[in-house]
Amino acid sequence: MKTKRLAWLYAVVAGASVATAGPVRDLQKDYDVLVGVQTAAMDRPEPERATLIAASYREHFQAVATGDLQAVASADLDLVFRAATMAAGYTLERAYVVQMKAVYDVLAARNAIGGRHPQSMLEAFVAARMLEDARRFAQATPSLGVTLPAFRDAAGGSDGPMLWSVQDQGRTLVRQAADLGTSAVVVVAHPLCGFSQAAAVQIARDETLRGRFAQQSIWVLPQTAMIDTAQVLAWEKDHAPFSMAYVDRQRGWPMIDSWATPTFYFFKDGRVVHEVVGWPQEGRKAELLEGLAKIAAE
Amino acid sequence: MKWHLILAAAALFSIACEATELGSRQGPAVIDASMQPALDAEVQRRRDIEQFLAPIKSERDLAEHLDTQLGRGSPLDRLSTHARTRFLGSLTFNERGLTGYRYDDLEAELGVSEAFQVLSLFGAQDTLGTLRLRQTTDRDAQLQALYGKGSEAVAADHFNYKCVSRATCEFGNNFICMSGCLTYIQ
Repeated sequence: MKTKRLAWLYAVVAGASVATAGPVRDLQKDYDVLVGVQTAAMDRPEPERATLIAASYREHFQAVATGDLQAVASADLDLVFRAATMAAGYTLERAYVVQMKAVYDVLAARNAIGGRHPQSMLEAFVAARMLEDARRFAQATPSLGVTLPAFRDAAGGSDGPMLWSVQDQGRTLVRQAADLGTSAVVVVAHPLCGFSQAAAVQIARDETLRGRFAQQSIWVLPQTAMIDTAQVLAWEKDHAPFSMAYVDRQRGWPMIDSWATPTFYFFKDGRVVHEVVGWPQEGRKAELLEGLAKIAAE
Repeated sequence: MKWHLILAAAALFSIACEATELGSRQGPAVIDASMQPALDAEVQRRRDIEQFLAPIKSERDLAEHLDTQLGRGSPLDRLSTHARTRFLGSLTFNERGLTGYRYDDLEAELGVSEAFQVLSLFGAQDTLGTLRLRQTTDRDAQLQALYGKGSEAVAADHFNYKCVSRATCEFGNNFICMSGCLTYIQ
């Protein structure tokens, strides 16, 4: 059944592009196809999802995005911008953010920018970790009302699992290597995810779990999360004693296979030995205890 | 002034209906306090009422609305055919109503008042403040100010995320995962 669905999905990606190829493109139809691929890919593993969406974008929009943008009507350019936003969001690849920016600049020159365009642009810069571009863009776009923190790299060019930790009351983010020690629990979470909040509340209230998680857990935001240090500080205040940091590049964390929130990864000597996904109403205490037992010192 | 009256009436209505209609027709609100995301209690109550009174709370309601209203003055008429199809295809419901939707076509094609009317069909007008919509009239500006002001209180609406079936939120470009989704994945 799954193989059939997958075959259908690839057929959509490959077949629809052939069907719409031709001298005159209806970009609304192309966008329909991209949205269809996005929807169908939501139950695929994350790397495959990104690959499918990027392939559909390249088939349907990339030629327009990298071609003569002046010859494209603003309504169509908006669709290209939205499509590039999708490719950038799922792949986190800078090449798509660059294409977004090229389209953005043409729309801006035509005075065809709405409130959503600068916000999407900023989010894409941040997610792709083009942080200096993000800062310049935010400064040049006061309507955003966003002041990004200072970014300080304390890790140099290292490629391992990296985090941006919130310091100086949220005014600075410091990039440093994640300290996984001999054992650790990495919790992928988001302050706005109700399931993540519920997990943090219930773990903090549980006498058995609270101490272990206070000592051993690192709560991390996925790369797709917008940087909002006030949000993180508020979360830490509400969910003491836990602390939260931003993942730098997800590709530096190849041992993490899903960035859905919350997901608990139990690390022993740098390897994931146990994984707990999601937080239903009854919680997952037994699974967490099982993970803690697996990483306990012998 | 009019809005204050509406809110006051809604609050009074809530007292009357909470123990009876919400309880008997839909069962009691199932959100355990410990599971509650950072949603102000007053905002949650307002949202419960808006959703309770909304004409569309299920796929069945939606089908009926499309049968009887589309092309006859439905707020959905204001979306282009492509945009409407994409928007409708993205809607997710639980037993209490809408839990998530795709917002990009609303932002691209509608002004604040038009989006308000579309979202009101589902009792989801409270999410208006999270959208980045065109303002072309005074009413647009008033609505945006009214709903934008409380947007921090509805921060539990997870922008660019989708609630998925393993009690997790997953990145979903152009989706809003509404706070109510917490109750349906059990």
